[in-house]
Amino acid sequence: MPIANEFSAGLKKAAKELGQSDLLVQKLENWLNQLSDGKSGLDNDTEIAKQFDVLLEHVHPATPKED
Amino acid sequence: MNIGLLGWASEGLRAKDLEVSLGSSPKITLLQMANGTGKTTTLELLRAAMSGAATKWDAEKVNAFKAGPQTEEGSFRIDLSADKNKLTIYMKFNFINGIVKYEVSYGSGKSMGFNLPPELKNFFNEDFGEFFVFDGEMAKQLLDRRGQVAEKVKDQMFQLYFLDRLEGQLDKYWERAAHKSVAKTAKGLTQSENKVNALETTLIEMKDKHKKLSEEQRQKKIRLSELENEISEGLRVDKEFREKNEALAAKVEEAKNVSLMIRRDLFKKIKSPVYIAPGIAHELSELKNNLDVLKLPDATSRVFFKELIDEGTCICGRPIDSAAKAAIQEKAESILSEEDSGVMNQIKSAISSRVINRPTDTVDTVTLEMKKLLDANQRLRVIETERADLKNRKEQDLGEVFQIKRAEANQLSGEIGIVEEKLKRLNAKDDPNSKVSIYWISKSLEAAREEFALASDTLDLKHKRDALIQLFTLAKKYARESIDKKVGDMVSARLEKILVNPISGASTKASVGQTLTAAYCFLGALLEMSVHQIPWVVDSPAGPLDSFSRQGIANVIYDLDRQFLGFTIDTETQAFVDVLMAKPAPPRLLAFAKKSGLVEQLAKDEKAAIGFESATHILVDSQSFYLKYKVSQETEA
Repeated sequence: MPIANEFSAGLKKAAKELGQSDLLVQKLENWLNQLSDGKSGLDNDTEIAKQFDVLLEHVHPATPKED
Repeated sequence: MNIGLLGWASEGLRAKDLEVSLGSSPKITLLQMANGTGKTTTLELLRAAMSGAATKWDAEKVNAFKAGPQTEEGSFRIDLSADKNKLTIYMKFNFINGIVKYEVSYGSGKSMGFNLPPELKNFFNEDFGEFFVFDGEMAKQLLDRRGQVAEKVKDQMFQLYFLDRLEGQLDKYWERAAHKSVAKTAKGLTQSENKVNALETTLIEMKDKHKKLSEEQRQKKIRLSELENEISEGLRVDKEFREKNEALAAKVEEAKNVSLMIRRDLFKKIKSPVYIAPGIAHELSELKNNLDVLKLPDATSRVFFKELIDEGTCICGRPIDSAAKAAIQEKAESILSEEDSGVMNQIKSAISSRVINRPTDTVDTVTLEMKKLLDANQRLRVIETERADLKNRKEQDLGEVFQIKRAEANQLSGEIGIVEEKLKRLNAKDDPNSKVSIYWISKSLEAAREEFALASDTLDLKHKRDALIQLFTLAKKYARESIDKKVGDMVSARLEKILVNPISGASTKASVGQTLTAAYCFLGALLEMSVHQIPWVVDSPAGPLDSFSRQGIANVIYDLDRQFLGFTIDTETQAFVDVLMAKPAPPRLLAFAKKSGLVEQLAKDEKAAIGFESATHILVDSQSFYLKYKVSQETEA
């Protein structure tokens, strides 16, 4: 079962506002759908590292906050 | 995921031995369980079975489930369906060692411990498990103004919690990368890394403590509410007391309203300082006199002089040369502008109307109002004390059992206060140096991570991590807003039909019935929107509701078209069970009764099927028995 429509729409809206790419949203949504389906879990460090390697390739870094 | 509750069985526990099978039931089942038959314990066991919570119970908590002092072991089993598979969760109680062991059977596999396949872990965990069982306490928490519980329910139903879990994993991912980098480049970064690790450990401990305290607070409040209900029910039996108490309650309400009205009036008056200090009135009058002395006609405003410069000729006929223009320009700056004059005039006018021309007795009026307020509050205290005395005397008359209940209730109130104080300290945001504030420890951790990233040359990766977390946070916010909008519309539409007296914005407190109704509509809307089907187990679904709300709630439950299991008592039949019975698919009605001659005779008369039988109790599977059975029938005539 994929994630709920409201969840998916929230991701897209946030990514647009933060200037993140559609490709990043697509990759993240794929992973979330696998988690929702139970096809992927969060107890395998190697698998998690692979997923983050892919995601972080498509992330624009955040500008450090000035306190 | 489509989850169904097929039944459960308990043996050797504080809840009476019972086996319930719901396999062939219609969507709605109502199980009547009188007070003292283990309703609350059964609900707690259902919650624990579906969440794995008992793995963290200490021996004292485990032993609280003992059937009797000699009991050495007990068991609880819950049967569920998860899509097309059968799931059975066993809880085996060992009272000698004070532990509970889980066993899980899923499809054709069986495992020891609370080990579930990944597709089930999203539903059968401590966070989700508590929402399977809905009670009055949860209703109150759902509508709490701070909304933390409501947010949590939404996060669970719509799986937004995945983003929190990914955030936790992302931190570990970055820390591993930073650690590798440190190992390669330098040895002197251990201190920085240790600081991050120490803060992480502290934060985990504090969050864990927060969770435990919240659960302790919830359990204590449930128990307190049970005790207060039992005490109230005991007191209400006496007609004379009931009438006196209701009369005093009405007087308390009236006295509160009088006090409120005086307070409102008084606050309106004391907003003006001249009402409370005559010296201020004198000073303001002096200010107005001084402003009057300035006597600044409109014509002398700065604009006049600026226009004069443009004219080229003075009003006396003399030509204005460049030197004169410069002089006029300079002087005009020191003259008040039209805006300044306007403000001055407003000040003068306000002083005239509110200070100089005010009623002469203002200070006396305020003094009088304050005295009235003191008198009204004194009267309120006297009536409240009179009411408390009446209750205390009656509780003393009712005997030792009630005094024990009152003592327990008082002790619980004190304990709840202590727990709330601890939670307040954990939630505090006002002291940046606090060592027990989750908020400030999180901030310190973030700063320590930044420092570590800089030192370990993984700053770029750290900033990417920050960007991803920013995305998670904002996505959650937008998803919640969208869910809120839809849920809000659905809840409003339902409440409009159900509530006779809507909860107005001006009202400070909703009644218990209104709270429960609103919470029903809220949770019902979430269940309807969610793509997952989960059973809805509710304690006393119609208990504190008026008959109009009961009908509305019955319709909400029926229209939801999801599995519903309600634990009821005999007073919930009217306007609730009746309404459900009139529907095309009426509910299955079960009653768990203590054996007595009258109960067994009634079961025989109604040709009722017996679903389960122990030495002391029977589970009767019959609509007519359910509707006719009253707890009083448990006592032999």
